[in-house]
Amino acid sequence: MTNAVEVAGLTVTYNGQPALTDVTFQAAAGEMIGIIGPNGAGKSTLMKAMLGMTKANRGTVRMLGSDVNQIRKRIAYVPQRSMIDFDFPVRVKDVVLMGSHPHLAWWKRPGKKEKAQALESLKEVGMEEYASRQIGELSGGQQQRVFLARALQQQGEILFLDEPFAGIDVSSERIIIELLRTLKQAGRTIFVVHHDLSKVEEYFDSILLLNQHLIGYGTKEDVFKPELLGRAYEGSIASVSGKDGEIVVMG
Amino acid sequence: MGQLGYFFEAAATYPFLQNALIAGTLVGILCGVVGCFIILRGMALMGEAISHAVLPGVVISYMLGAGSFFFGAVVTGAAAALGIGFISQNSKIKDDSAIGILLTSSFALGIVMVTSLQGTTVDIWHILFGNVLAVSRSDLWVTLGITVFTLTLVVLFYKQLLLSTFDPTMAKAIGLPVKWIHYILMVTLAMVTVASLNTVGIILVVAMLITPGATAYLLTDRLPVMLVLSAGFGVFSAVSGVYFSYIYDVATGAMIVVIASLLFAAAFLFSPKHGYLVRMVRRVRTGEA
Repeated sequence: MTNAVEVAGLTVTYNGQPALTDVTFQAAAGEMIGIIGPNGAGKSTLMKAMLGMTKANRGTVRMLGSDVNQIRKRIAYVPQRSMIDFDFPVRVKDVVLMGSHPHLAWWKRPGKKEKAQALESLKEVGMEEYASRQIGELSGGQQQRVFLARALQQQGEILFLDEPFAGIDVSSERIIIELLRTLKQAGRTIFVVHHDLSKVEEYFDSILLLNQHLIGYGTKEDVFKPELLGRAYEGSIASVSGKDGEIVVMG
Repeated sequence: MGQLGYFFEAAATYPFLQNALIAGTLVGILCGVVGCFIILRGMALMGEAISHAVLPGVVISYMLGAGSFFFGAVVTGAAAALGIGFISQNSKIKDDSAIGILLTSSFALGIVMVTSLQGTTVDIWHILFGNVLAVSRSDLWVTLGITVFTLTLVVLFYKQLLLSTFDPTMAKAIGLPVKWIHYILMVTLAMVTVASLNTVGIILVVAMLITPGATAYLLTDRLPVMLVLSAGFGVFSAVSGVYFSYIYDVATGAMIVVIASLLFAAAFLFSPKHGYLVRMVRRVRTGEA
């Protein structure tokens, strides 16, 4: 079986400062990978470079066996909530309908079929009652669920989520993680940028530990270890509650 | 009522008044629609810069004896937009400072050029503040052309405009040419300024772009409704501005902007959902006062 994603030697610099250096890994279909690392480790940069939104200085990215530009329709991206202007005059269902855009011809508007599908997508995240609300009237967790519904609407085979669990309520968190698990079961490949170490073991089977370099990549048993975390979180203190109690990582 | 009757009689009699009303209506719609996207993209200052940067192009067109200043104006307007991006990307100067520099430098250049032309018919006052009662037939055609062209673009690419404005990151991820959409909008801004030159003039065109759109923004949570309301406020301001300026013999462009601003003030205070008064009441009720 071929890998869903293959990244080789990916290197990105911003104004001469290295942001990512020589990152290489492969991910199979049906994997959910947590991209973990301290602030400024290049987690979002990695995602953006994989999607070709940030120029890579060196390295290659292959997705579903092709160049990313050939398969954009098969990818869904959920942005960081802080990147969105929630005063924007759109309703919840309008946001979800944006997920249909990549599948429509450039002059076509979403029609009946897409609208029905959007309501289905909203049902899956438990937000159908809010379809006609303005997006800013929702809580953070509800907003995040709406963006996940938009990703469902996109029907992507590879999903990228940038900090989906930042600042959201417990029930939204549960709904999102369960839905992501279902998607994973259905063979989707899912990348999640995440920086709260306390939930890492609970959420992800595979972990990509990053701090400009790839520090570790593999199952959580192999990667979520004090020595690797210590290398990633150098100089900072991170407290991790693992299965065998509290591990404290110190730089 | 007598004044209204007097105005209608005049409008029926004088072609210049008819032209003024047609030009005002077109500019109201055009600026109202384009302005919504300018507001939502946080580009109000950019609009100000581009409208001012049109001045040197207008003057050069006069110097070359070109029949219309359309191309000159679009070229210098677009050049300023590119210049702003170039400076902020290639130095540590931030966007707002780059805008400030290019806005004033291109405007100053235009003024220097105008004052170097002696004994010509260029009336700087009209370019800066508009002279809607002197709109010619050919001016009207240019304005109509720009309005039809721009509205066609907005209707055709509504989906792309919506997504790239609301969520540029996703727009990039699905492969929309986000940069090109930005530049096309800049060129459109320059064209809108040209279309509005006679009606409100370079200095006040940004008011026609921002104020009706901002008024509409306070009244609705849906972009299609915002676009229609904004165009409606633009037309209402333009037409009633022409009316009052004719009746009271005051500057038309400024009168139009004053009316647009009054509409905004009313929406700011009394909007049922986002108005200042409603907010106050809500705050008192929830005990946050």
